[in-house]
Amino acid sequence: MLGLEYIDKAEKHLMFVSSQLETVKKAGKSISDAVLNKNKIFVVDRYGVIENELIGRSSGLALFQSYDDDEETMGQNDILILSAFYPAEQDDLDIINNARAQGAKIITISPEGPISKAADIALINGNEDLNDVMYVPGIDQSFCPLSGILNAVLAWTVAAETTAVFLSQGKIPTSYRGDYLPDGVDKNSEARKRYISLGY
Amino acid sequence: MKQNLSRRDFLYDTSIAGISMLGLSAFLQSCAEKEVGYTHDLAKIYIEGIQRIIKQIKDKELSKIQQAAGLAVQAKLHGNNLYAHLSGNMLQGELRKDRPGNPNIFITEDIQRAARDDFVLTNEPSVVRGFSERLVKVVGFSTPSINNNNTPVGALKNMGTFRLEDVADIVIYCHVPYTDGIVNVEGVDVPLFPASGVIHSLMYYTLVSEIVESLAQHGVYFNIS
Repeated sequence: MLGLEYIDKAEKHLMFVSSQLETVKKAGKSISDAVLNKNKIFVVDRYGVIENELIGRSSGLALFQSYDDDEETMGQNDILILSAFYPAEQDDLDIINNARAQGAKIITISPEGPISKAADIALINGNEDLNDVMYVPGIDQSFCPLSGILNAVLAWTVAAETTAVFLSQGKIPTSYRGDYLPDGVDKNSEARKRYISLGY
Repeated sequence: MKQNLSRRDFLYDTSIAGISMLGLSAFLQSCAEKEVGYTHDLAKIYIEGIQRIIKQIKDKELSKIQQAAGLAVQAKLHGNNLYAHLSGNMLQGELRKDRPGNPNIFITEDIQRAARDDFVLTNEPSVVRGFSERLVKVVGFSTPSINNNNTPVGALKNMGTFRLEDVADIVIYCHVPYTDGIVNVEGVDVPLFPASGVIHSLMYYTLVSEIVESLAQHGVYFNIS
Protein backbone atom coordinates (compact mmCIF):
# COMPACT_ATOMS: atom_id res chain seq x y z
CA MET A 1 0.00 0.00 0.00
CA LEU A 2 2.93 2.31 -0.56
CA GLY A 3 1.04 3.99 -3.40
CA LEU A 4 -1.62 5.21 -1.01
CA GLU A 5 1.10 6.53 1.29
CA TYR A 6 2.61 8.48 -1.62
CA ILE A 7 -0.76 10.08 -2.45
CA ASP A 8 -1.34 10.90 1.23
CA LYS A 9 2.03 12.62 1.36
CA ALA A 10 1.21 14.59 -1.79
CA GLU A 11 -2.04 15.78 -0.22
CA LYS A 12 -0.28 16.75 3.00
CA HIS A 13 2.40 18.74 1.20
CA LEU A 14 -0.18 20.47 -0.98
CA MET A 15 -1.56 21.91 2.24
CA PHE A 16 1.89 23.39 2.88
CA VAL A 17 1.93 24.82 -0.65
CA SER A 18 -1.44 26.42 0.06
CA SER A 19 0.22 28.31 2.90
CA GLN A 20 2.39 30.09 0.30
CA LEU A 21 -0.47 31.91 -1.38
CA GLU A 22 0.39 35.34 -0.01
CA THR A 23 3.89 35.00 -1.47
CA VAL A 24 2.36 33.71 -4.71
CA LYS A 25 0.32 36.92 -4.91
CA LYS A 26 3.50 38.99 -4.57
CA ALA A 27 5.12 36.97 -7.34
CA GLY A 28 2.10 37.41 -9.60
CA LYS A 29 2.05 41.17 -9.00
CA SER A 30 5.76 41.44 -9.63
CA ILE A 31 5.51 39.51 -12.92
CA SER A 32 2.50 41.41 -14.24
CA ASP A 33 4.10 44.76 -13.36
CA ALA A 34 7.29 43.72 -15.13
CA VAL A 35 5.46 42.55 -18.27
CA LEU A 36 3.40 45.74 -18.47
CA ASN A 37 6.68 47.68 -18.19
CA LYS A 38 7.95 45.75 -21.25
CA ASN A 39 10.26 43.55 -19.22
CA LYS A 40 10.78 39.86 -19.89
CA ILE A 41 10.07 36.82 -17.71
CA PHE A 42 12.65 34.02 -17.88
CA VAL A 43 12.29 30.52 -16.50
CA VAL A 44 15.06 28.09 -15.64
CA ASP A 45 15.09 24.62 -14.10
CA ARG A 46 18.20 22.48 -14.51
CA TYR A 47 16.09 19.32 -14.56
CA GLY A 48 13.70 20.74 -17.14
CA VAL A 49 10.54 20.11 -15.15
CA ILE A 50 9.17 23.63 -14.64
CA GLU A 51 10.71 25.09 -17.77
CA ASN A 52 8.80 22.57 -19.87
CA GLU A 53 5.63 23.25 -17.95
CA LEU A 54 5.54 27.04 -18.09
CA ILE A 55 6.97 27.81 -21.52
CA GLY A 56 4.67 27.48 -24.53
CA ARG A 57 2.45 24.99 -22.73
CA SER A 58 -1.18 24.55 -23.71
CA SER A 59 -3.50 26.10 -21.10
CA GLY A 60 -0.59 28.28 -20.04
CA LEU A 61 0.50 31.88 -20.63
CA ALA A 62 2.57 33.15 -23.54
CA LEU A 63 4.70 35.49 -21.45
CA PHE A 64 7.33 33.03 -20.17
CA GLN A 65 10.58 32.37 -22.03
CA SER A 66 13.57 30.09 -21.57
CA TYR A 67 16.59 31.43 -19.71
CA ASP A 68 18.82 28.82 -21.33
CA ASP A 69 17.78 29.85 -24.84
CA ASP A 70 17.68 33.63 -24.34
CA GLU A 71 20.00 34.35 -21.41
CA GLU A 72 21.95 36.96 -23.35
CA THR A 73 18.81 39.07 -23.86
CA MET A 74 18.16 39.42 -20.12
CA GLY A 75 18.23 43.02 -18.94
CA GLN A 76 17.52 45.43 -16.11
CA ASN A 77 14.31 44.65 -14.18
CA ASP A 78 13.57 41.47 -16.11
CA ILE A 79 12.51 38.58 -13.88
CA LEU A 80 14.06 35.13 -13.55
CA ILE A 81 11.95 32.32 -12.13
CA LEU A 82 14.29 29.59 -10.93
CA SER A 83 12.98 26.21 -9.87
CA ALA A 84 15.31 24.00 -7.82
CA PHE A 85 14.98 20.66 -6.07
CA TYR A 86 17.81 21.25 -3.61
CA PRO A 87 18.30 24.26 -1.35
CA ALA A 88 21.90 25.09 -2.13
CA GLU A 89 23.26 23.67 -5.38
CA GLN A 90 26.08 25.85 -6.62
CA ASP A 91 24.94 25.71 -10.25
CA ASP A 92 21.61 27.26 -9.25
CA LEU A 93 23.33 29.90 -7.13
CA ASP A 94 25.60 30.74 -10.07
CA ILE A 95 22.53 31.27 -12.30
CA ILE A 96 21.02 33.58 -9.68
CA ASN A 97 24.23 35.58 -9.32
CA ASN A 98 24.56 35.88 -13.09
CA ALA A 99 20.96 37.07 -13.49
CA ARG A 100 21.36 39.49 -10.60
CA ALA A 101 24.47 40.93 -12.25
CA GLN A 102 22.35 41.57 -15.36
CA GLY A 103 19.88 43.55 -13.24
CA ALA A 104 17.13 40.92 -13.03
CA LYS A 105 14.84 40.27 -10.10
CA ILE A 106 14.72 36.71 -8.83
CA ILE A 107 11.75 34.52 -7.94
CA THR A 108 12.67 31.06 -6.66
CA ILE A 109 10.64 27.89 -6.19
CA SER A 110 12.75 25.63 -3.99
CA PRO A 111 13.34 24.27 -0.51
CA GLU A 112 14.36 26.82 2.11
CA GLY A 113 18.09 27.56 2.09
CA PRO A 114 20.74 29.65 0.35
CA ILE A 115 18.81 29.64 -2.95
CA SER A 116 15.59 30.94 -1.39
CA LYS A 117 17.56 33.45 0.67
CA ALA A 118 19.15 34.83 -2.50
CA ALA A 119 15.71 35.54 -4.03
CA ASP A 120 13.62 38.69 -4.08
CA ILE A 121 10.56 36.51 -3.73
CA ALA A 122 10.97 32.95 -2.43
CA LEU A 123 8.32 30.27 -2.79
CA ILE A 124 9.11 27.34 -0.52
CA ASN A 125 8.02 23.91 -1.77
CA GLY A 126 8.04 22.17 1.60
CA ASN A 127 9.59 21.82 5.00
CA GLU A 128 11.59 18.64 4.39
CA ASP A 129 13.61 16.95 1.65
CA LEU A 130 11.07 16.20 -1.06
CA ASN A 131 13.32 14.37 -3.50
CA ASP A 132 12.85 10.96 -1.94
CA VAL A 133 9.81 10.69 0.26
CA MET A 134 9.21 6.93 0.22
CA TYR A 135 10.98 4.29 2.25
CA VAL A 136 10.95 0.50 1.96
CA PRO A 137 12.59 -1.82 4.50
CA GLY A 138 15.63 -3.44 2.96
CA ILE A 139 16.44 -0.51 0.67
CA ASP A 140 19.04 1.83 2.16
CA GLN A 141 17.99 4.82 0.12
CA SER A 142 14.57 6.44 0.11
CA PHE A 143 13.04 7.21 -3.29
CA CYS A 144 10.18 8.82 -5.27
CA PRO A 145 10.21 12.63 -5.33
CA LEU A 146 7.38 15.04 -4.67
CA SER A 147 9.47 18.11 -5.44
CA GLY A 148 8.63 18.23 -9.16
CA ILE A 149 4.91 17.99 -8.50
CA LEU A 150 4.96 20.66 -5.81
CA ASN A 151 7.20 22.99 -7.79
CA ALA A 152 4.84 22.61 -10.76
CA VAL A 153 1.81 23.41 -8.62
CA LEU A 154 3.58 26.49 -7.27
CA ALA A 155 4.60 27.54 -10.78
CA TRP A 156 1.00 27.30 -12.00
CA THR A 157 -0.30 29.22 -9.00
CA VAL A 158 2.13 31.99 -9.93
CA ALA A 159 0.80 31.96 -13.51
CA ALA A 160 -2.75 32.01 -12.15
CA GLU A 161 -2.04 34.92 -9.85
CA THR A 162 -0.29 36.82 -12.64
CA THR A 163 -3.47 36.40 -14.67
CA ALA A 164 -5.56 37.61 -11.75
CA VAL A 165 -3.55 40.84 -11.54
CA PHE A 166 -3.91 41.39 -15.29
CA LEU A 167 -7.66 40.88 -15.03
CA SER A 168 -7.89 43.35 -12.16
CA GLN A 169 -6.43 45.94 -14.56
CA GLY A 170 -8.89 45.07 -17.31
CA LYS A 171 -6.32 43.19 -19.37
CA ILE A 172 -6.19 39.55 -20.43
CA PRO A 173 -2.77 37.92 -20.84
CA THR A 174 -2.33 35.82 -23.97
CA SER A 175 -2.74 32.10 -23.39
CA TYR A 176 -2.41 28.93 -25.42
CA ARG A 177 -4.75 25.98 -25.75
CA GLY A 178 -4.15 22.41 -26.84
CA ASP A 179 -3.41 22.07 -30.55
CA TYR A 180 -5.58 18.95 -30.37
CA LEU A 181 -8.73 20.94 -29.54
CA PRO A 182 -11.07 21.82 -32.39
CA ASP A 183 -9.55 25.00 -33.98
CA GLY A 184 -6.65 24.76 -31.50
CA VAL A 185 -3.94 25.27 -34.13
CA ASP A 186 -5.61 28.37 -35.58
CA LYS A 187 -6.32 29.86 -32.15
CA ASN A 188 -2.71 29.32 -31.08
CA SER A 189 -1.49 31.00 -34.23
CA GLU A 190 -3.70 33.99 -33.42
CA ALA A 191 -2.44 33.92 -29.83
CA ARG A 192 1.19 34.16 -30.93
CA LYS A 193 0.38 37.18 -33.09
CA ARG A 194 -1.54 38.78 -30.24
CA TYR A 195 1.35 38.24 -27.84
CA ILE A 196 3.85 39.80 -30.24
CA SER A 197 1.54 42.74 -30.80
CA LEU A 198 0.63 43.42 -27.16
CA GLY A 199 3.68 42.12 -25.33
CA TYR A 200 1.49 40.18 -22.89
CA MET B 1 -31.89 10.43 -21.21
CA LYS B 2 -33.97 8.90 -18.39
CA GLN B 3 -36.91 6.83 -19.69
CA ASN B 4 -40.20 5.96 -17.93
CA LEU B 5 -39.72 8.49 -15.16
CA SER B 6 -41.47 7.41 -11.98
CA ARG B 7 -43.60 9.83 -9.99
CA ARG B 8 -41.09 9.75 -7.15
CA ASP B 9 -38.19 10.51 -9.57
CA PHE B 10 -40.22 13.31 -11.17
CA LEU B 11 -40.90 14.96 -7.79
CA TYR B 12 -37.27 14.54 -6.76
CA ASP B 13 -35.97 16.04 -10.01
CA THR B 14 -38.33 19.00 -9.90
CA SER B 15 -37.55 19.78 -6.27
CA ILE B 16 -33.80 19.67 -6.98
CA ALA B 17 -34.35 22.00 -9.95
CA GLY B 18 -36.38 24.34 -7.76
CA ILE B 19 -33.73 24.46 -5.07
CA SER B 20 -31.06 25.08 -7.72
CA MET B 21 -33.07 27.98 -9.18
CA LEU B 22 -33.49 29.52 -5.74
CA GLY B 23 -29.75 29.24 -5.17
CA LEU B 24 -28.97 30.75 -8.58
CA SER B 25 -31.38 33.59 -7.97
CA ALA B 26 -29.80 34.40 -4.58
CA PHE B 27 -26.34 34.27 -6.13
CA LEU B 28 -27.29 36.65 -8.95
CA GLN B 29 -28.88 39.02 -6.46
CA SER B 30 -25.74 39.08 -4.32
CA CYS B 31 -23.64 39.86 -7.41
CA ALA B 32 -25.90 42.75 -8.35
CA GLU B 33 -25.65 44.25 -4.88
CA LYS B 34 -21.87 44.22 -4.63
CA GLU B 35 -19.18 46.12 -6.45
CA VAL B 36 -17.04 43.38 -7.99
CA GLY B 37 -13.39 44.22 -7.33
CA TYR B 38 -10.15 42.26 -7.37
CA THR B 39 -11.62 38.93 -6.38
CA HIS B 40 -9.95 36.62 -8.89
CA ASP B 41 -8.54 34.08 -6.48
CA LEU B 42 -7.22 31.97 -9.32
CA ALA B 43 -4.21 30.46 -7.52
CA LYS B 44 -6.40 29.09 -4.75
CA ILE B 45 -8.88 27.74 -7.30
CA TYR B 46 -6.02 25.94 -9.08
CA ILE B 47 -4.80 24.24 -5.90
CA GLU B 48 -8.34 23.22 -4.96
CA GLY B 49 -8.81 21.77 -8.44
CA ILE B 50 -5.63 19.71 -8.10
CA GLN B 51 -6.74 18.51 -4.67
CA ARG B 52 -10.10 17.42 -6.08
CA ILE B 53 -8.47 15.43 -8.88
CA ILE B 54 -6.05 13.76 -6.48
CA LYS B 55 -8.99 12.68 -4.36
CA GLN B 56 -10.58 11.11 -7.45
CA ILE B 57 -7.35 9.26 -8.24
CA LYS B 58 -7.28 7.98 -4.68
CA ASP B 59 -10.92 6.94 -4.66
CA LYS B 60 -11.28 5.56 -8.17
CA GLU B 61 -7.87 4.64 -9.60
CA LEU B 62 -5.77 3.31 -6.75
CA SER B 63 -6.99 -0.26 -7.09
CA LYS B 64 -6.17 -0.18 -10.81
CA ILE B 65 -2.74 1.25 -10.06
CA GLN B 66 -2.18 -1.67 -7.68
CA GLN B 67 -3.41 -4.07 -10.36
CA ALA B 68 -0.98 -2.50 -12.85
CA ALA B 69 1.84 -2.82 -10.32
CA GLY B 70 0.97 -6.50 -10.02
CA LEU B 71 1.44 -6.93 -13.78
CA ALA B 72 4.80 -5.17 -13.64
CA VAL B 73 6.00 -7.23 -10.70
CA GLN B 74 5.04 -10.50 -12.39
CA ALA B 75 6.81 -9.41 -15.56
CA LYS B 76 9.99 -8.54 -13.67
CA LEU B 77 9.96 -11.71 -11.57
CA HIS B 78 9.70 -13.76 -14.77
CA GLY B 79 12.71 -12.01 -16.26
CA ASN B 80 10.83 -9.66 -18.55
CA ASN B 81 11.47 -5.97 -19.08
CA LEU B 82 9.58 -2.94 -17.77
CA TYR B 83 9.27 -0.06 -20.24
CA ALA B 84 7.84 3.43 -19.86
CA HIS B 85 7.02 5.88 -22.61
CA LEU B 86 5.46 8.96 -21.06
CA SER B 87 5.46 12.05 -23.22
CA GLY B 88 3.72 15.37 -23.34
CA ASN B 89 1.53 15.44 -20.30
CA MET B 90 4.01 13.92 -17.84
CA LEU B 91 6.30 16.47 -16.17
CA GLN B 92 9.30 16.27 -18.47
CA GLY B 93 12.50 15.66 -16.57
CA GLU B 94 10.91 13.32 -14.05
CA LEU B 95 12.04 10.28 -16.06
CA ARG B 96 15.64 11.44 -16.40
CA LYS B 97 18.08 8.92 -15.02
CA ASP B 98 19.74 11.62 -12.91
CA ARG B 99 16.44 12.85 -11.46
CA PRO B 100 16.98 12.79 -7.68
CA GLY B 101 14.84 10.03 -6.12
CA ASN B 102 14.12 8.26 -9.41
CA PRO B 103 14.42 4.51 -8.74
CA ASN B 104 15.00 3.92 -12.47
CA ILE B 105 12.75 0.89 -12.67
CA PHE B 106 11.76 1.45 -16.31
CA ILE B 107 13.62 1.28 -19.60
CA THR B 108 12.69 4.53 -21.32
CA GLU B 109 14.37 3.98 -24.69
CA ASP B 110 13.51 1.69 -27.60
CA ILE B 111 10.00 0.90 -26.43
CA GLN B 112 9.40 -0.82 -29.77
CA ARG B 113 11.70 -3.61 -28.59
CA ALA B 114 9.10 -4.68 -26.03
CA ALA B 115 8.43 -8.39 -26.46
CA ARG B 116 5.94 -10.95 -25.23
CA ASP B 117 5.14 -10.59 -21.50
CA ASP B 118 7.14 -7.37 -21.15
CA PHE B 119 5.35 -4.52 -19.36
CA VAL B 120 4.81 -1.13 -20.99
CA LEU B 121 3.49 2.01 -19.33
CA THR B 122 2.46 4.82 -21.63
CA ASN B 123 0.31 7.90 -21.98
CA GLU B 124 0.71 7.95 -25.76
CA PRO B 125 -1.34 5.03 -27.06
CA SER B 126 -0.31 5.44 -30.70
CA VAL B 127 3.17 4.09 -29.82
CA VAL B 128 1.76 0.78 -28.56
CA ARG B 129 -0.50 -0.07 -31.49
CA GLY B 130 -0.15 -3.78 -32.15
CA PHE B 131 1.47 -4.52 -28.79
CA SER B 132 -1.47 -6.57 -27.54
CA GLU B 133 -1.08 -8.90 -30.56
CA ARG B 134 2.54 -9.39 -29.43
CA LEU B 135 1.21 -10.20 -25.93
CA VAL B 136 2.97 -7.22 -24.36
CA LYS B 137 1.20 -6.04 -21.21
CA VAL B 138 0.19 -2.41 -21.69
CA VAL B 139 -0.91 0.02 -18.98
CA GLY B 140 -2.21 3.37 -20.18
CA PHE B 141 -2.56 6.68 -18.39
CA SER B 142 -5.40 8.63 -19.96
CA THR B 143 -4.56 12.11 -21.26
CA PRO B 144 -6.76 15.08 -22.08
CA SER B 145 -5.76 14.97 -25.76
CA ILE B 146 -6.54 11.32 -26.55
CA ASN B 147 -10.05 9.91 -26.65
CA ASN B 148 -11.01 7.52 -23.91
CA ASN B 149 -14.31 6.21 -22.56
CA ASN B 150 -14.71 9.30 -20.34
CA THR B 151 -14.09 11.93 -23.05
CA PRO B 152 -17.25 13.97 -23.65
CA VAL B 153 -18.81 13.16 -27.01
CA GLY B 154 -17.54 15.53 -29.70
CA ALA B 155 -14.96 17.21 -27.48
CA LEU B 156 -12.05 15.84 -29.51
CA LYS B 157 -13.86 15.53 -32.81
CA ASN B 158 -10.68 16.17 -34.80
CA MET B 159 -8.79 13.39 -33.00
CA GLY B 160 -10.49 10.48 -34.73
CA THR B 161 -12.10 7.53 -33.00
CA PHE B 162 -8.96 5.83 -31.64
CA ARG B 163 -9.28 5.27 -27.91
CA LEU B 164 -6.81 4.42 -25.20
CA GLU B 165 -8.97 1.45 -24.26
CA ASP B 166 -8.30 -0.01 -27.74
CA VAL B 167 -4.65 -0.71 -26.88
CA ALA B 168 -4.30 -0.94 -23.10
CA ASP B 169 -4.85 -3.93 -20.82
CA ILE B 170 -5.42 -1.56 -17.90
CA VAL B 171 -6.47 2.07 -18.23
CA ILE B 172 -5.80 4.45 -15.35
CA TYR B 173 -7.88 7.58 -15.78
CA CYS B 174 -6.24 10.88 -14.88
CA HIS B 175 -9.55 12.70 -14.24
CA VAL B 176 -8.16 15.85 -15.87
CA PRO B 177 -10.73 17.48 -18.18
CA TYR B 178 -10.12 17.32 -21.92
CA THR B 179 -9.15 20.99 -21.90
CA ASP B 180 -6.28 20.19 -19.49
CA GLY B 181 -6.77 23.64 -17.94
CA ILE B 182 -8.83 23.56 -14.76
CA VAL B 183 -9.47 27.23 -13.94
CA ASN B 184 -12.15 29.27 -15.67
CA VAL B 185 -10.82 32.73 -16.41
CA GLU B 186 -12.93 35.75 -17.24
CA GLY B 187 -12.59 36.63 -20.92
CA VAL B 188 -10.91 33.36 -21.94
CA ASP B 189 -13.04 30.71 -23.65
CA VAL B 190 -11.13 27.63 -22.42
CA PRO B 191 -10.02 26.91 -18.85
CA LEU B 192 -6.40 27.75 -18.09
CA PHE B 193 -3.55 26.25 -16.04
CA PRO B 194 -3.08 22.59 -16.83
CA ALA B 195 -3.33 19.74 -14.36
CA SER B 196 -2.07 16.82 -16.45
CA GLY B 197 1.64 17.27 -15.73
CA VAL B 198 1.09 17.28 -11.99
CA ILE B 199 -1.42 14.43 -12.05
CA HIS B 200 0.49 12.16 -14.43
CA SER B 201 3.57 12.52 -12.27
CA LEU B 202 1.54 11.70 -9.18
CA MET B 203 0.08 8.62 -10.89
CA TYR B 204 3.54 7.59 -12.10
CA TYR B 205 5.18 7.76 -8.67
CA THR B 206 2.18 6.09 -7.04
CA LEU B 207 2.64 3.18 -9.43
CA VAL B 208 6.42 3.20 -8.95
CA SER B 209 5.98 3.11 -5.15
CA GLU B 210 3.78 0.04 -5.43
CA ILE B 211 6.17 -1.74 -7.78
CA VAL B 212 9.31 -1.00 -5.73
CA GLU B 213 7.64 -2.10 -2.50
CA SER B 214 6.40 -5.33 -4.01
CA LEU B 215 9.66 -6.21 -5.74
CA ALA B 216 11.66 -5.46 -2.58
CA GLN B 217 9.54 -8.07 -0.81
CA HIS B 218 10.79 -10.51 -3.46
CA GLY B 219 14.40 -9.42 -3.02
CA VAL B 220 14.58 -7.34 -6.22
CA TYR B 221 16.14 -3.89 -5.77
CA PHE B 222 16.83 -0.93 -8.04
CA ASN B 223 19.54 1.68 -8.38
CA ILE B 224 18.07 4.91 -7.01
CA SER B 225 19.39 8.24 -8.35
